Amino acid sequence: MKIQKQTAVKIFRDAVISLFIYALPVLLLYFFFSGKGQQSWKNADAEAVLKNLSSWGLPVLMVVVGLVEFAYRLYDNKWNKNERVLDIVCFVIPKVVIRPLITFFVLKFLPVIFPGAKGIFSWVPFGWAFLIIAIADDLTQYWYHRLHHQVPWLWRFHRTHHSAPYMGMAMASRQNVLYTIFFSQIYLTAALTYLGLGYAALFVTGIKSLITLGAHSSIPWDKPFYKYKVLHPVAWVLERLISTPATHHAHHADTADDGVGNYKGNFGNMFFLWDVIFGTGIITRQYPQSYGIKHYKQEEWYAQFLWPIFKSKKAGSELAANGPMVGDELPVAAVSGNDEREEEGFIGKYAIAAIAGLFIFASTFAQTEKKKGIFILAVDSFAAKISRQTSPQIIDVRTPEEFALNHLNGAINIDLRGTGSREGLAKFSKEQPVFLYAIQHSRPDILAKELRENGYKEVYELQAGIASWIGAGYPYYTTVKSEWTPADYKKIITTNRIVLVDIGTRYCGLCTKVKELVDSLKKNNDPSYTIVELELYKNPQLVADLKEIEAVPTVILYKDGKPVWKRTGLSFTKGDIEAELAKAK
Amino acid sequence: MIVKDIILLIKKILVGIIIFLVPLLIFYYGLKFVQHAL
Repeated sequence: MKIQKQTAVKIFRDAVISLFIYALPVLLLYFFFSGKGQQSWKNADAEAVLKNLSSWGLPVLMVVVGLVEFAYRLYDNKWNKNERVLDIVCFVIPKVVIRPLITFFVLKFLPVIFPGAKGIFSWVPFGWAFLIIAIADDLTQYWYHRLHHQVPWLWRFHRTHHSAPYMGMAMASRQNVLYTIFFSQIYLTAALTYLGLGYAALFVTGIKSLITLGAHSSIPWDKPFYKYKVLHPVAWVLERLISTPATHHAHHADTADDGVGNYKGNFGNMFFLWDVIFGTGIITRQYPQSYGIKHYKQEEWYAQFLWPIFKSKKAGSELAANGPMVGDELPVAAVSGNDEREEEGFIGKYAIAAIAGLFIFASTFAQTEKKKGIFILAVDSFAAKISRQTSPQIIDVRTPEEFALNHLNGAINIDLRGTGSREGLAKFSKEQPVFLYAIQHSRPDILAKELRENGYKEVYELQAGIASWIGAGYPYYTTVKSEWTPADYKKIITTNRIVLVDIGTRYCGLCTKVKELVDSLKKNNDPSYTIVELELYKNPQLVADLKEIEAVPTVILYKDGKPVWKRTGLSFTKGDIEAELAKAK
Repeated sequence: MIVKDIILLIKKILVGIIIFLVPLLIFYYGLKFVQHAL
């Protein structure tokens, strides 16, 4: 059975629109930053958030909702033994299978696909990250879901979700295991978490789980919004924005003849908005009379859960060895487009208003705490701004001793200690931008504020300091010949099986704390690993040649010459290092 | 499970990979662009 041409054209058209929707938050973020000045590109550790993603809260909530439904006999006595086993297996098994898969994907697969990219987008403000994850996760699930309805050969992987003649919290997890394992949005959200949007992912997945659980539950939480006139405006927004029990139950109806059911549409999971935009939705405030699929043959639970690995023995079943791709009583129209109700697509005109509302909602979260006229830039942006100046005004805010060892070409030195002479500023124009750097940006922060108060219009700070500048390979002045050459470095990480390298400088407070941690490991006298401590100021050329130092302190663990763990700043404990060392052994 | 089913499964996985990869690349290169263009 082939997909109808009309349906294929509609899928293609909506897919192109989706590309634009995916890109929209990024474009808006660009205009937001370019209009208001750049935000700080901060590093953060996504690992703690990843640990929280697999929390136990949601399964517990599902069980509680299930007990309420069961206690009030909301399953309408249709929950026979076969259905019970299927619902319980679908609830338990994927949680056991998927967790290790996601863990493997995040810890082993993503570092290969995006080496060194862990946490690189953690600078994205929470509101924007929330918007990105919400669109990424839910629009992707919308497509995954819709294609399983509209592409005939995909239908049987999703059929289990629709076979039950009742609704309830169990429906939220009742899926064929292959449908669940290859859920695209789970991997997309995990990848974006790895890239640094984990905190927002935690919120989005939590909210999404509540909405989808509520939409499948037989507890009609939305009814009061339809009953009381005063709540009608809220209902109007809700039913267009998110999946409600009414609209999602309509998706699970076994017929459209009752004027309520819409099993050919209403594909949205968290957001109903996608159905509004693509014209696949029908909004209703009533509940269908019956659920499931007309040609349901009560197929064995194992066939429903594991098809096509195990087939049903029921003759004529879609899940049987020689069964039809789509059941006889549910011909292609039932799993094809929604074209005969195309006129319902008029609700799409509300889409722009709804999207605008979403952006306003998200932007209220946006981090707008920016000191006017002071910009903290990542090294590439900092270098690009400097390169656009004919005579750049650069100030090194470290001690004269550090300045003498190395500095950016053309920089002057202002030492903030003591009286901290500012005489070098005399030749600087207040109309031109001033560029500040040190090791981190705490010292530049102090001077930046002072400069702004004294009328300097634009002040730029180098976020990760001199180490990021040298590490990125930009030109600098130095009087020091590196103690280590790249060949020395390579030799030590390859001739020793496990090597822990700590790169820092004695002039940096955080580096000193990390050094204390590393020194305490030295006291273990464990012969299974080697510890190397590198002083940034004594090895600037090595840091430049390595091309992987973005800030100090940086700690890298090598195994057989390859980096297996890397941390910047003080984002770890001694226990974390010991755990990584134990893993490497 | 027969060859026909394995082909079906591979096709399904490919569809899944496409709808995973397209938005991921949009966000990855989009955010990289934002970070480096400003």
